[in-house]
Amino acid sequence: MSTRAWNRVLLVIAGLLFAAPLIFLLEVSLQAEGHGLGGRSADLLTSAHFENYAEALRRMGDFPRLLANTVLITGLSIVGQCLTCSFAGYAFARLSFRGRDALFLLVLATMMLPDQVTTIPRFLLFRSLGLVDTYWPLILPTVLGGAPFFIFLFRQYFLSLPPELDEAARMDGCSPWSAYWRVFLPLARPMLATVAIFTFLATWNDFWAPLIYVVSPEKRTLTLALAGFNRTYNTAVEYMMAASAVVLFPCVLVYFLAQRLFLRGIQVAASKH
Amino acid sequence: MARLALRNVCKRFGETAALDDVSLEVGDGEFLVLVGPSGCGKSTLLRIVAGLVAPTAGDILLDGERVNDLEPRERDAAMVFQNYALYPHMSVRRNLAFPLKMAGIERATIARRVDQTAAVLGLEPLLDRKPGTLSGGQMQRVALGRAIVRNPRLFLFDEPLSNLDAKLRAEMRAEIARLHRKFGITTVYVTHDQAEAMTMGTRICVLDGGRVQQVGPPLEVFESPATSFVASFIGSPAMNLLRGRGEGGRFRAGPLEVPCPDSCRGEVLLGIRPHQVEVGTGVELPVTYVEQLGSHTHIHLDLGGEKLLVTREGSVDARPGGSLAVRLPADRLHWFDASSGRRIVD
Repeated sequence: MSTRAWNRVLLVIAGLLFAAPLIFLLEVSLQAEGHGLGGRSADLLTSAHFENYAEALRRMGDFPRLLANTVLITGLSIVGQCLTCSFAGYAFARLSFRGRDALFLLVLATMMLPDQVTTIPRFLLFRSLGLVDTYWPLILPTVLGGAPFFIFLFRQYFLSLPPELDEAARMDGCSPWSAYWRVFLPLARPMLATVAIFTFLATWNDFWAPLIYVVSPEKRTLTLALAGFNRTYNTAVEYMMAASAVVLFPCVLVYFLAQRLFLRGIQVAASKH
Repeated sequence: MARLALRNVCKRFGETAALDDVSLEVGDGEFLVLVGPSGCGKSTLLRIVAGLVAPTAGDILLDGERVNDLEPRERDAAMVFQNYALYPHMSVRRNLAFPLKMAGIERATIARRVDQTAAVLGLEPLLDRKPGTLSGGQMQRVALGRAIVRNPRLFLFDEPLSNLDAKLRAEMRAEIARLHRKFGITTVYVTHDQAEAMTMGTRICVLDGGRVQQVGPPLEVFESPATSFVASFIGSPAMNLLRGRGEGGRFRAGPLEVPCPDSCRGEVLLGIRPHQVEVGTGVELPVTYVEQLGSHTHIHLDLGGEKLLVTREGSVDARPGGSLAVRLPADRLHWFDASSGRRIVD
């Protein structure tokens, strides 16, 4: 067999290995109640229990509310992240000011801090501001440019654009703000898409922050509801898997639709100095 | 249109002086070409006039008004860049309309002026295309259009033709000259290409090492270079500069001896254009290299270790290893002080 054929075989094997948990999840979600882990039907074409999905959503509680909460937090986080990180990246890449490089190094240094290290100080801060059990602690860190990696991504992207674009914009009557808004931000569309996807995946799947800050049941997100489901119905694995599949679906969809942009973001981060 | 004046302009980048005490006047409707080698400060000077770079010292005056503290948009100057600097996400129409939109001009007027400019430059078929789909020449036309559409009082060009091939460059040279005649807007044009400098400018300003070497009409600069640098920079091929000694009205360099002004004493440089060297009589010099260019022939001669270049129309029967008799006509000679490089006046 040629090297190319070997490569394909290896890719198929690796693909199957990575897809196995997802296939398992879908298979179990379609089994009859009580047969999820033992006595599973192999013939899903004739005996698939799609009604498990409706039952799982019913048992999760107020699903439309949970979905709306999650969409709201995710949407605002995406907008906040894209705007503030692109703005900071633009300033670091295209504006000259005293201490710029030192400040950028400081921003980069915060990438080294694990989330867990800042969790307690951050909680104390939001508690002192009276923002616990609101969505602000979930949204504000993104709106305030709390993602140094994305600032880094935008900076690298803006550095790759010709310097004359700034000068042309200034000659045409732009202030630094309008040059950013009218020239550089529209040019950063590929990077905006990449950051939006990364932020979507991180926020949609986030369990940690909602667990800390959200207390009221009506403010819960999908991941919190899923966790609650896990505790209450941990024996009904079919429903648990069906609920997980529903929560997972948008992430898989977004990944497949925007796979190229996702990879491009990683390439930019890896290749630009 | 505007009168531009630069008074004692200096620019330092750290320890490096990019511009050193530059003073210059550009008349109303004049086309001034700033020419010089890479790093001579010409682009920095243009950016200072545009307001993109602040001078370390000195004044920039537009129509007598000091504009040092004005933002680029407040100076009413338009600039054309070497790499066009078109906005890639906007159509040609939106690129042309952008400066007008930023100036707060109403839509109907913008549309009319964009159409007028497109007509002048033949851009109508391209109006709805993005810059990425245009050729280099078309992009440069759009960049010109974006400058013209504003009807500014000052045009600034930063090596606008450097990225074009030779044929297109010649076409665009004529196009820019035509537009200058049509609109009569005061223009400062930066280039390192002396063909552009000689053919486009009403005056040229030669810069070297951040200092003005000479300012004047192109032919005057060509025929009476103020320094040995200008002599070697303007003209292609470059002027021969032969180092020798002047004494008692005679200049000697290797086997060559010619009369020189009495003011030429000690180490001096003799300059002569390659096409002005006479062939057939005079001192015999060995031929080191011959370049047949079809319409011209370049003959390299050895003058006691120094190179003397002679050009002749058509082909010449000369071969490396042979010799050629040459004479340097006294009325074609230029004299420069060897240490300062300044022209020695007869």
